Amino acid sequence: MEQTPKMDDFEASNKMLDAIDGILSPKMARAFEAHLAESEESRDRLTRLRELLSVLHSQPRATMPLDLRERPLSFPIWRLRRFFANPRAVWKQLPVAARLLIEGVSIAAVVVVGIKLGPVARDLYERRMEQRLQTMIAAEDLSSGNVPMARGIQSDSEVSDEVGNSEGGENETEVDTSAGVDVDSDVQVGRGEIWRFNLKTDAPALVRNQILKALREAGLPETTPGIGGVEAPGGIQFDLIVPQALIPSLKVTLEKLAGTPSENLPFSETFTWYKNRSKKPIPNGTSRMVIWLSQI
Amino acid sequence: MSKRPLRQKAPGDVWMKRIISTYGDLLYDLCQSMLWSPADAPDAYRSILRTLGRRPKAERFLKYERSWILQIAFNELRGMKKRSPRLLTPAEQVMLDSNPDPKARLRFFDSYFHRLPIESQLLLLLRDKYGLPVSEVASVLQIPEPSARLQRLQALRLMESWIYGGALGTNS
Repeated sequence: MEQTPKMDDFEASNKMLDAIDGILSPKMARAFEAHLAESEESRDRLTRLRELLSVLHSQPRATMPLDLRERPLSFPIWRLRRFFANPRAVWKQLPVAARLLIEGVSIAAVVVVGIKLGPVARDLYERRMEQRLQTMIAAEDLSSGNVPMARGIQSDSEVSDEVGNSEGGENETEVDTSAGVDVDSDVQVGRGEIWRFNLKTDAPALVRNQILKALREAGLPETTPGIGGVEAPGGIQFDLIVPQALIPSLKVTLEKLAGTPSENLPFSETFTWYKNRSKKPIPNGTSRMVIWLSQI
Repeated sequence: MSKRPLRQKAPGDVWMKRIISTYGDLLYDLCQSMLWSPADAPDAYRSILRTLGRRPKAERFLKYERSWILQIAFNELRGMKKRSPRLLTPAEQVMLDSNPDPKARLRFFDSYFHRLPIESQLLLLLRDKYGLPVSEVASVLQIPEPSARLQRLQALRLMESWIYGGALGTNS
């Protein structure tokens, strides 16, 4: 009787797969079975191996999508979809030569486009800035444009109208305040007076707009004759009739607008004022105000 | 008597249709199983078909057709997997290995399976999932049959050590 060969754990583990596949020779199969009867460890290993093979065998089969089954060889759209889903992966799959070519062409294209577009971008920017500037100027003109430059009611004979002059801020001994408005102790506005303000500025047109704004804010209607000022050689002049109560505040505003003279100028004051009595009658409660913006 | 492969001189469309109808499902499942990505499987499948279509007609074996097709498929899949592998992050790997229960680990069989070398994955799929004989699997991988058997055993030992914590053939 042929003796069954003895098998150890190592040999048994090497023959396990063949035993499961059923391709062991009868002699080896008997030896394997004998070893299994004696070794619990080998039995456990066999169980685990069978379990693994069972899991492998029972792995689900993937179902081919219907459109792939119908059109298995069409793929441009899929490639695009796949590219957009994961562009890096698709890029990595391209051959090195193709990637280098695409990169080189892209860099060259970027450089050429940059060179071509540079002047165009600069033009666009300059046009835009010019448009903005034009808009600003137009807005400024619009704000002052609806008040055209025009003389006030009393104009040419103003010098002969003046009875006497008084200059300065503090000494107002000639002022007749009996029927005037006493708003401020330093500025007493009398009846029938002409108030003259002289501002020295290097931009009369700009200051004109500011004076116009101040006059509007003071409550003067737009239709007040002379509110727009008039251009004269050497500057711009405003000649208008205003309520007496507005004179002090306007004086303060005009003084602020005149600003402080710089050290380079030959004169020390940019704002001077005086008042005198008017020969021609001025409506009650009002005074004549003449503002002269002289160009430095 | 020299052995000459049987040459099928069928028109390209007819031949390709026959290949698709015969091996299409197998190839598609192989693509999805190897790449571990349903999104990449259609592209891989198409790529394999296009490669098959471009091969010279003299290569179209009728007798060993399946091995030849699977060999081409394996080459394509290997290249794709190398270019864009799907790998677990270190955190996922730690989470996978930290579970002591083999039953729980068995639920993540796919994750452990894709840790194997690509040749071992193909070998196990062809032999144990699709039931191909070891000789045919060896011809697909272009290795001798005993080497294919040994590689299969080693792959299964590795899986066993990962999942059950011990290894076949070791005194642990």
